Amino acid sequence: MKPLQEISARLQLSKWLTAKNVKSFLLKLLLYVLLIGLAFVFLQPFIYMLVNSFKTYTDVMNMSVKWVPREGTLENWKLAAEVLNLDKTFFNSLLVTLLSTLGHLFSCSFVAYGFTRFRFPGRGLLFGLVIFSIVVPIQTLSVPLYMLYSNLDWVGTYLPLIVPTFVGMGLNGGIFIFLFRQYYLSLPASLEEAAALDGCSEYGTYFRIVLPSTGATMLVSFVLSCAWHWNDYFEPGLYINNSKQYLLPQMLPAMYDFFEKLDVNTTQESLEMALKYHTGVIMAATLMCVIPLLIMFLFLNNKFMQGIERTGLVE
Amino acid sequence: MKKRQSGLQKRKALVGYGFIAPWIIGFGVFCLFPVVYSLIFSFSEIKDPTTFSFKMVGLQNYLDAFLVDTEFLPTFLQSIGDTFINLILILFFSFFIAIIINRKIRFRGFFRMVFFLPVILGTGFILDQILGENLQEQSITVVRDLLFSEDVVRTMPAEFLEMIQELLNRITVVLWNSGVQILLFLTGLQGISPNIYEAARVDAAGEWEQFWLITLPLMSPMILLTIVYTLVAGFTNSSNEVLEYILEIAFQKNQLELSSAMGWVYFVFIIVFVGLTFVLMRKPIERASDR
Repeated sequence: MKPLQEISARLQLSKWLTAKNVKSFLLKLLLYVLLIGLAFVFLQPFIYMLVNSFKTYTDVMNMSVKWVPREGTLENWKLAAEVLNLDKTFFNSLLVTLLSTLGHLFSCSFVAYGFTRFRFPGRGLLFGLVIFSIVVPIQTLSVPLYMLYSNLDWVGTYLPLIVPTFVGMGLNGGIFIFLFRQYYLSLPASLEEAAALDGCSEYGTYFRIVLPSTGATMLVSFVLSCAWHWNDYFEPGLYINNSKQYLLPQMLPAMYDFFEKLDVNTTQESLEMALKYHTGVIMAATLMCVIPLLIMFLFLNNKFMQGIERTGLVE
Repeated sequence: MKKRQSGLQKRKALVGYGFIAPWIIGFGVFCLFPVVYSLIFSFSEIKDPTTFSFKMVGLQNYLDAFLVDTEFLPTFLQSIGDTFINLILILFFSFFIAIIINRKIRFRGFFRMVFFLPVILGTGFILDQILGENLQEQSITVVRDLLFSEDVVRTMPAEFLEMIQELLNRITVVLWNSGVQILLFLTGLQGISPNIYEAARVDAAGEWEQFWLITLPLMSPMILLTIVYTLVAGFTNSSNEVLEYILEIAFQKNQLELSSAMGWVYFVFIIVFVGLTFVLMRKPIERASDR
């Protein structure tokens, strides 16, 4: 007993082991357990997909092989690239995503400035309509939109996906107008007033002074718009039906059809078998769709974070 | 002098219209036009699908949606219930996560990145893929393996296990859908001046009191915005069952008029519901944040 007391005295255990310290330690422990648990929910699918994309068929079927594949293989990735038609669809997706993001950044920042800095009759009503355009589900408008685009001869091109973004519409366009408006509201008008006194026109002021200051909001909008456009498969699915023009996420549902056709006499069971057999390929293909976004996010993460802190969503 | 002033105002207004002109055109062509068309569809019967010649039939389609179609109303109610439960869970989790990653914690950069994964992946087919049944089952078994040992699982009643599985399922879906909400809350938290907390600490307010007396009231406008966003996102999400059903009616059963009518019922509901939420909560929230 004595040596133990000595040690505890030397370590000043009694001083350290106060109720308050124990409580804060336990709270911290609980916090980190929760954090790690929540983080796990987000990371687990990726780990699972990554692991399975390297598994051979026998490993996938072998229940005892849970995490680490016994014999790694790159076959799945090769096959997935082929099934996804990666060398074509990747660049199609990149083109559409970048162009429509450019459209959003350009038009929404411009339009939002008009809504924030100028008073004109009907402003409240029109901004209400911006909110309206966010709230109306695109699905309920798909038939009239399809009619419109087919009359314009745009079906089978990327124009229905790109052109609306240049006029502040398109995928979640209203949200970006809202975002930029919040930023302009937090921007002191004094600089613009000074520019006006120096004889700069409103448009000149906007392009020379206001637009260059939107960096943080631009970045946040860029990341969101890129992600939303890259992932979207509903609208492309409506207007693009030529396999040469397919976008990357469209290929994922198409992939199921592909495996279905592998089997001559398809039944529900044989489809399930085919899908099971190709689990590794499906995982690899899904990862391929995600990885470009992840890389973009890794590069922009720090700036994005700072941007979030400065978007001025709160006044 | 007065005349010149109003002349200036007029010119300013014109410039304002100039700025929003692209949007006015875009809204007219890509939103108003299809909206009006689908409204017309919903009150009519299409005679010839190739030329879209139609005749007006009044409320017939709306009556059909409720009285003839047996699936619409249950799907509709189910989806409302789901959205509402998800709303509460999303608010809770995203607020909690935002508070944690706004604190000084170890590996904050890492955790922030992980919690923003849903922001960039939270839409589209990829998410459906990630949350696909296969994976979900897998994640459930993983969690179960981690939480309980074999023996515990074996002694537990099956219903209880099922309940846990359902709960875990729902939490997974909710977490993956709360990306933007975490972002909104984090922005809000960043906007609260540290001086206020400093002052509270001088007055010997504990963390708990700081949360209830400072964080929550000051965050209430942001909470309202997040509620509205979550409702809209939940109702217009591509995996929403009502929307899926409406699309099915339109494209697989070729009943355009009926699907338009359902779309309008749903749409008016969203507007009224979200609008009411906003109007009813605005006043108390303004009062709370002004304190």
